[in-house]
Order: sequence, then structure tokens, then C-alpha cells
Amino acid sequence: MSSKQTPPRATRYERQEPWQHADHSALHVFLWQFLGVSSLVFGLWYLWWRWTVSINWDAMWLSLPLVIAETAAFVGLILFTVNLWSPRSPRPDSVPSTVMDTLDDKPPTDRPIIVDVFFATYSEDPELVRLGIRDAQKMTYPHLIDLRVHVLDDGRRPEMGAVAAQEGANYITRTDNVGYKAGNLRNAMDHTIGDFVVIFDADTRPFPNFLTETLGYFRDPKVAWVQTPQWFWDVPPGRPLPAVLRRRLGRFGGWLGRRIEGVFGPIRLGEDPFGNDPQLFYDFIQHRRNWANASFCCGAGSIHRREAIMEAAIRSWTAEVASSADQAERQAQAMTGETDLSKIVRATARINQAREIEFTPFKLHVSEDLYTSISLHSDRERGWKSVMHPKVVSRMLSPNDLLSWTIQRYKYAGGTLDILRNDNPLFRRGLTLPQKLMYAMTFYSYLSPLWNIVFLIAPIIFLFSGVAPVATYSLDFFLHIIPFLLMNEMAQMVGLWGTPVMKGRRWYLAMFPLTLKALWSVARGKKVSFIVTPKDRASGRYLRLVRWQILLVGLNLAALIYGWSLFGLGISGYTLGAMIVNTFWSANNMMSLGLIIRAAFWQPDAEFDLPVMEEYQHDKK
Amino acid sequence: MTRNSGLYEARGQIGWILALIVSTAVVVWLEQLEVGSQLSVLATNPLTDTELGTDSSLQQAWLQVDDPATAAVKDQVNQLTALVRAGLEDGADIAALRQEAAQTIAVIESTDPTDRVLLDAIRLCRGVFNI
Repeated sequence: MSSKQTPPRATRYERQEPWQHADHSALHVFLWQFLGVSSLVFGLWYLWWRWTVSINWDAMWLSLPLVIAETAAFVGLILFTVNLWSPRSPRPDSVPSTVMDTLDDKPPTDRPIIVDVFFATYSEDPELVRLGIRDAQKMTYPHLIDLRVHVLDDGRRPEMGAVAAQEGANYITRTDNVGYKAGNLRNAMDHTIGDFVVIFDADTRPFPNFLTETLGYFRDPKVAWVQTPQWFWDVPPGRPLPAVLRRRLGRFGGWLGRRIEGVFGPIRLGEDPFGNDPQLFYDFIQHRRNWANASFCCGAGSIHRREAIMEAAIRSWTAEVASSADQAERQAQAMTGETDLSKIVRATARINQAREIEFTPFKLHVSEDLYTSISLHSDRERGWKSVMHPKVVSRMLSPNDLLSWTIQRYKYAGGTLDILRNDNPLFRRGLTLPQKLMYAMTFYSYLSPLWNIVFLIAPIIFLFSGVAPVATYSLDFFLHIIPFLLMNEMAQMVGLWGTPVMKGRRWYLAMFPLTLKALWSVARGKKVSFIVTPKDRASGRYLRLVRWQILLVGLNLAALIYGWSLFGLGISGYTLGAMIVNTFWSANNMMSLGLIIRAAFWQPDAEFDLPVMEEYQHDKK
Repeated sequence: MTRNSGLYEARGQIGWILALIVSTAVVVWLEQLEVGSQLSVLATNPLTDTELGTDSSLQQAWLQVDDPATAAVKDQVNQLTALVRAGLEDGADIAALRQEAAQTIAVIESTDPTDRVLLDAIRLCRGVFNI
């Protein structure tokens, strides 16, 4: 726990600055689109050759799963390309001066805009919430505005209430915790009247320009919500190589480190051990859904039009009541044998269902943000729009240990897959084709462990058995796969220029046991429980969480030694081409798995504080 | 974002692309060396009917032999080298050739061959088709 009145982790992190939006030029975007399409064409050519020529029918048990896995991954690449296709986005208009500027149907009398700011909390340190409240009260606006800050405490803690009172914020609580965070927000909606609702987590600290950056979009009466990037300002910045070497080798070490950096650029050891840099997600994946009106809400850092939330809730509730009443009617018909129930009986059934089904402005779901987004996007009658604002206008804390990270990612994976299983948006009426493709990309990415596991074990099987999953590692093989791999890498490098793509991809591969577990739970119909992501670092090493990754790295190492030994002995099947391909593949897998294993051992470095870091500042902007 | 900062972020990918290019070049070069060296033995031996006229002792020995047993071996070597050459051509149906090569080798090996050139041809065929 942090000490009273002191910002938590306020050392070198305080000076960190958020990423700048990667605003690519039209020429840059055209180059990405050209490379992206080329990559898909070469990929199709490669897969055609794989299916028609290269399957090793003598080892079908290995060859077929691999070619199926490659095809599945390629489908994901198509969806990813569609997702990143264009950065076309709406531009914010000038900020509205009164409520009339934000509405289609003009009210008889005008007034200043009312904004409710919600800080949802359960067990977090009240002092942490205090910092957010203070920052929220410092949000500026060029016109008169009615800003109301509320603390939504599901923990019912007197000390939280006291902090809210001291800071002049409204304190809202309830007698139960039904629906967890979604229930907490819903309860707050009952107690507030603002035109717009800002959702912050307990650790969110908005910048003063939060409202001026976002409210301009709401001049368009169709805009239902604006999501802003979630920037983790406490992501470990790593230790500069010259500083580390100077501590170990003295002045020579410092000199050596600088020379190395002179060639390769700034090198930080232990930088972002948990892969928490969300730029790839917000600045590219989410922002590039704007053209299709398909960016979804991620909770904290979003601002909503109250009318949209309430209308979505009413529609959803009406549909649920109707569906439930129809079911009751069918049951009554089956019991009584009456095929034509009277209007009075039907009406009574509907009233009873309406009484029983709770009205929920936020869907009570572990992924309530995604759920609400789908509901609003599929409302074609109203044509609600969403916007992903590219500029960082708030900061928050990252999951800073592997346990917290695992809890958070499991929640995302389980929640998303639960929606896929129980309320698949691909079959939902109302969504446009581009919107369906964007949501398909989100859901599909969580199915990735099904093919990633094949990619992880295929080289191990070859190195131990000499059984190749392709008919031959001949020049023909290289001729087909290399152009695709090169083109794909170049496309992603250009398309995602400005963000470390490699790291994201490695984490995606390395987290396969977690996603697989979520997939298995949801497939068996198990409920994904809501657990609050801890905001304080839990100390310790989490070897149990990475046991599968450690096992695979061990198997890879053993397989490499075994395979190269047999190659040295000239054993049939271990050709040079096959050995190089599988060694490259195995090394790539180990580097990915190594990231998460390293995170399990990671401890904050106390020796490098702010002055040390400032000495080694590099111009990265 | 400056060009430098973009490059810093793309270092991993640039490294990956370079590693891919270098390892592919190494594979192609070594495979060609391996196949090439084996082909050269066969290409210059008298049984392939090509590039005769070198002065290798092996070739000379073969040139001087002309009996029915050697003729049968010559046929088998020619069959294997023809398969190898077909496999190295653009657009070859590798799966079918591989199957044919496996069958041919099985037939030849059932006679327990001892001829060195024939054994070289079998080894080459195995190497090319990964048998």
C-alpha cells in the first residue's frame, strides 16, 4: 500500500510521457495497403502450394495439423489486414458550448452541459482514488460546464467516503455487489442525471484536456461514446545499457554501452517486462476501426452519451422480456394443450417477465464494455457511432506483476469468448459487414491458442523424430514460404510503423496456456468470474504461472541438441535445410516464451532512480 | 515521431528480416553446394552420358568396363539421376517424384547393390527427396 498523501510509485515514472499518435501520411498508408495485399497474395500462393504439393502424407498426423494451423493463422492475418486497412477517422468539431449543441431534437430551453465523472472502486487504496478525483476536478473547459465527480464505492468503506467528502466528490454506494463493476455503474446511473458520463477506474488520472479533446465529437448527435487510450504511465522504462555496464565495469563499461547504443540505438534492459505497452491496441487496432464505426468501449477513459446507454439498455431489456415471455407462452401451451392463448394470458406473462428481469443500463457481464458496444452498434434504427480518440488524455496503473497481469488477461479472454459463445455478434442483426469483420477479428484472436500450440510443438517433433511436416525442405519450399514471410513482415513493419510489433506478437504467442484455459472454461459453459485486477504490485516469483512455457523451452533446447547430434551422425531425414528451418523456428518460439518466463522472475530495480534515468535520456520523440 | 524513433521501434523486425534473408541464403547456398557436389560426381561419371572427358579415375574405370552387369547398373543409375533432375526442375510434382524415387530405391536396394556409383546415386536421390 502506498503511504498517505503520496502518489504511488512516484519516482522515475513521473517523467514518462505518453506515446504520440502515429499519424501516417497518405503515401505511407498506400504503401502499407500495397504491402498488405501483396502479403496476402503471397500467403494464398504459399497455402495453395502447401495443400496441393507439400503435405507429407507419410506423416499425416503431423503434416495435416500444421497445414490446418497455418491456414487458420492466415485467416487471422486477413482479418488483421482488414482491421488495419485505413486510419480514416472522424475529426472532432469545436467543443459544444451548451447542451443544445449536442442534440438532434433541440430542447425548449438551453443550459450548460452536465458531465458526471464516475470513479468505480471496490478495494483500491482510497488515496489512489483521491489523486484521480483531484485531477478530474482540474479538467478544463472553455465554456460553462456542470462537472460532477462521483466515487462509486462497491466496498462500502467509510475511509473512501471520507476521502470523497474531503475532495468535494459525491459518494455513491449500494447494499449489494450484484453485477460487479457493471452493476456499480448501473447503480450510479440511477443516482445521477448528467448528459454525459465519464467512466474512470480507481487508478485513472485524467489530464486537464480530457473534456476539450473528447466533447467535440458529440456535436454529432449520433456519437454514442468516445474511447480514449489507456496509457500505463508506470510501465518500467528499463535500465539504460550504459548505466548498467558502468555499474559493472566502471567508466569503460559506460563508454562501451554508449558505443553499442551508437550503433543499435537506445537499449533498455528490463523494459516493459509484462508487455503492457497498449499503443498497438489503441493507436492501431482500435483507432483503425473508426472507418467502419466499430471501435469498441474499453471502460476506463471513455465518455458516453447518457441517452445512448439508456436507450441500448431499454432495447436490450425489451428484447429479453419478449424472448422470455415467448418461452413462458410455449411452456404454457405445452402444459395445457391450448394452442391459442388469450391476449390476457399473454399480457400477464409479459408483465410477469418484465417484473422478473432486471433493467440494466450496463449489461451485467465480465466484459460489459464490449457487450454494450455490440448492443449500440447493432442498433441500426438509431445508427449510433463510436469514436476511438487517438490522443492520450489520461493515465493509469499497469498490472505490475505476473499474477495481476494473468488475472487481467484471463478476464479479457474469458469475457470475450463468453460473448462469442452465448451472444455471437456475427449472427446478430443490425451490424454492418465491416463491423462484423472487426468484431470477428477480436473474437478470432482469442481462438489463436488452437493453432499456436501446433506452431510451438511442430519443430520439437521434427527435431526429436526426424519426421518432417512438409514433403521436402527443398528449394521449392523456400521459394514459396520466404516471399510470404518477408512480405508479411515488411507489411506489418510499415503498417504499424512507430510501435514495437515484435514484442506484441511474442506475447500473443507466449500467453497460449492462459487463452487456452479461458477457451476451455467457456467451451464447458463455466462462468468467468469477475476479479478486480490488483493495483498494487504483488511481490514474488510466479513459476507456477509459466510452467508450460518453461516446459516448452526445455523441450526445445533438448530437441535442438538431439536433432543436431543426429544431423552430425548423418541420420536419414535430418537434412541441412530442415535443420536450419527448424532451428530458426525453435529459436523464435523460445524467444517468445522467454519473455513471459522473464516476467515471472522480474523484480523492480531499486538502484536506478530518477537522476540515473535522466542522465541517459534519449530523444525518442 | 521522428524517423529515428520509428527505426528504434522497428529494430526487432529489421533484425528478423535480416535473419530470415541470411539463413535462407545460407540454406540455398549450402543445399546447392551439397546437391551440386553430388551431381558433379554423377554428371561427370560415364553412366550419365554427359560431360564426358574428365580424367577422374572413377570415370576412366567405368569407361573401360562394358559387360551386361554394368549395363544393368548403368540403367539403374540413369533412372535415379533422371528422377533427381526432374525433381530440380521448376514446377515439378515433388510428391509424385518422391514416391517414384522411394519405390525405385526400394527395388534397387533389394538386390544389395555394392557398386559405388550406384550407391552415390541412391544417396543423392535420398538427399534430394528427403527419403
